[in-house]
Amino acid sequence: MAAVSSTYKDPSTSFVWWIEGDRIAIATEIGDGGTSETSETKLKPVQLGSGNTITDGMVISYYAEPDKLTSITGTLDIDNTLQPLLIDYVKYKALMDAASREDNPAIAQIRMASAQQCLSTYREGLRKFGMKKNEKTGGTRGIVPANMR
Amino acid sequence: MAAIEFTGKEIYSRVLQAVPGVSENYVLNLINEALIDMGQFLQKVEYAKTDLAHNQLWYNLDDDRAITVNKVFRCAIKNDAGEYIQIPRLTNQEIKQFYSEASANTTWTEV
Repeated sequence: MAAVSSTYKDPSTSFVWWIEGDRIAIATEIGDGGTSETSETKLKPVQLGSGNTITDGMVISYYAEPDKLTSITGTLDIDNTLQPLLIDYVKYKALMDAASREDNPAIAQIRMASAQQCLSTYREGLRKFGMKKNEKTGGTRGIVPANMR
Repeated sequence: MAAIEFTGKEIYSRVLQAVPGVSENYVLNLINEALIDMGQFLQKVEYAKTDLAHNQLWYNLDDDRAITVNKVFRCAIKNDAGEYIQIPRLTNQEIKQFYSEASANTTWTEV
């Protein structure tokens, strides 16, 4: 592949993007793709000449997932307001597992109750601080009207 | 002054109070499970770039890439002066010609 320089004067008037599933699409009106639907002024993939690329031609801004913790001595890649919630989540899972291993039903019951307490703290905290759910996949959202009956 | 941040070790010590005897590796796995769960929520903004390729409509964003994307909210294309110009999002999400070409070779670099 050969790297070519960008010749686009103002991409804001000739390019569009959208998301479908886990892919981003980039289409442009510039250039001729060789069919009636891909001619000049019709939206189509970038036309640069076979095998050509524009190095670092596109930049996206995105909400990212936190990085994996690879070592127990590492720090967490999330906002520190959310870190106490992470402790609650870990304790919830650990207590649940410990309860399932426990032979004594009374102790198992206490651990289950503690686990539920951690889970509710985690959920309540995420509701307050976690902002809204993500939109990893694109596409039109449906609006469901309220049932008035 | 630096923000207060927990290390995995500090979380491990907290978990030991509730469940004595659990291993560090077990807690490390639970921390990563928690990070996946919390990753559903919008938290940190990052930027990444990739090459524009001839006749390629689709650029992969799946979790096999060097970046982990929850939601793209802005896209910019390099112009002839080397500047990145923001481009609009297509609201109807499709064009007339159908393209299904694979884009498995998309390589993103964090900016």
